[in-house]
Amino acid sequence: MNALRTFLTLLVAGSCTLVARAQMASADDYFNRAGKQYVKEDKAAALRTLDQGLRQYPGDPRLLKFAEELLKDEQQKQKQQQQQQQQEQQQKEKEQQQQQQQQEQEKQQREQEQQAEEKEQDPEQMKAQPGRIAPQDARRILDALERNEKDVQAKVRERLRPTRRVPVQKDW
Amino acid sequence: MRGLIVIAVIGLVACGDAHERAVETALRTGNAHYDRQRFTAADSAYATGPLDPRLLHNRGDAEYRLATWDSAVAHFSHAAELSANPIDQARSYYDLGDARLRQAHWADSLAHALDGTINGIRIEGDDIAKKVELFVQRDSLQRQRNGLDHLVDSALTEGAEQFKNTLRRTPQDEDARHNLAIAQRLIAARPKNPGGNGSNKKDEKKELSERAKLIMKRADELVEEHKFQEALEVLEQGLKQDATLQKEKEYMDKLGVVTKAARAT
Repeated sequence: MNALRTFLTLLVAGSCTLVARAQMASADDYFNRAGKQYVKEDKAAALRTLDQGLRQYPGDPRLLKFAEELLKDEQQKQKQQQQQQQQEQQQKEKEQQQQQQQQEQEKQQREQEQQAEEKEQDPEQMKAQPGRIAPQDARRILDALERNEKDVQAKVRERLRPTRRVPVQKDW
Repeated sequence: MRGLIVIAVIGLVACGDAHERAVETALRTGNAHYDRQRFTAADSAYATGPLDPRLLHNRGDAEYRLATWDSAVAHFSHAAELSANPIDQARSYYDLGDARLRQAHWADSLAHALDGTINGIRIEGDDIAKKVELFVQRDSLQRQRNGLDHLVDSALTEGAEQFKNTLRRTPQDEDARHNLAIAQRLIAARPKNPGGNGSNKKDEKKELSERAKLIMKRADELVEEHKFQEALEVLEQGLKQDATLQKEKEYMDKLGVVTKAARAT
C-alpha cells in the first residue's frame, strides 16, 4: 500500500515537472521570437525578448550573439549623439561668450560717452537747471528704468502662466 | 383624475426637494472641508451627493487643488455637459481648459526630467546581458517620454478648445481670452513631428513587382515559421530574378543579422 502511495506521489511530481518544463520557454523560443520581432517589428521589441531570455539562460551563446549584433549600431548611435550634444554645448557656450563680450563693449561705450558729455559741461551746468536733468540724476533715472524694465519682464513671465480666477464659487 | 394629478405634482415636488436637499447637504459638508484646505475629504463629501453639475464642478475643483488632473478634467467636463445655464457651463469649460493647461505643464516638466535620466543611461561595457538590460530600461523610459509628449500636445489642444467654448458662452471673459492666447502660443512653440516616413515606406512597397510581392510573401511565411535562413535564401535567389526586390534590402539585412547570430556556438 505504501509502495503504491510512493509510486503515485512520484508520478504526480514527475508529471508536474514535465508540465512546468513544457510551459517554460526554451532559449530557442526566445531566439526565434526575438528574430521574428527584429525582422518584422522593431529592434526594441527584439531586445526586450532577448532581455527576458538572457535572464533565464544567461550564458546562451545564440542569445548573447544576437544581442551583441543588435547593440552594435546602438553604440555607434550613442557616440554620434554624444558628439552632437558636445557640439551643441560648445556652440551654446560660444554664443554666451559672444553675448557677454557684446554687452561689456556696449557698457564701456556708454560709460565713455557719458564721461565725454560730463567733461563738455562746465561745473555750473552740472547743477540741475529747470527743464534739464543733471547727469547724476539721469544715471539714477536710467537705473530706475532698468529696474522697472526687469520688473515688467518678471510680470510678463508671470502672466505667461495661465491665470486663474478666484476659487470657484462653491455654493453657486 | 384631478386627485391623481395633485398627487403626482406633490410627489414630483417632494422628489425634487429630496434631491435638492441631498445636493445642499453634500455641498455644505464638502465646502466645509474645502475651506479648511482638506481637498481629499471635500472631494469625498461632494461624491456622496446625487448627480448634479454643482457637485461635479466642485469635485473637479477639489481635484484640481490635489493636482489629480485626469479626475479634475473628467468632472469639469461632466459638469459642463449637465449644466443648463450657459454661465455655469462657461465656468466649467474655463476650469476644464485651465486644468488641461496645468496638466500639459505638469507633463512637460516630467518629460524634461525624464530626458535627464534617459541621457544619463550609457549602454557601454563588456557585459552584453547588462547592456541589453540598460537598453530595455532606456527604451521603456523613452516610450513613457513619448507618451508624455503626446499628452502635452493633446492637453494644450483641448485646453485651447475649452477656452473657446468659454468665450462662445461668455465673450467678455478676458481671462479666457488671455489663456486661449497662451495655449495657442504654446501649441505654436511645440516641436513638430517629422512625418511622412511611414507613407514613403508604403509607397516603396507598392513599387515592388507582382513577382517580387509573391517572393516577399513566401519570405514572410518562412519568418513566421522561424526559418530565417530559408527566408534569406528565398530573397537572395529572388533578387537575382527581380531587381525590384532591392527595395527590401533592409529586410534582408535584418535576416542576415539573425542568421549570423543563429550560427553562434
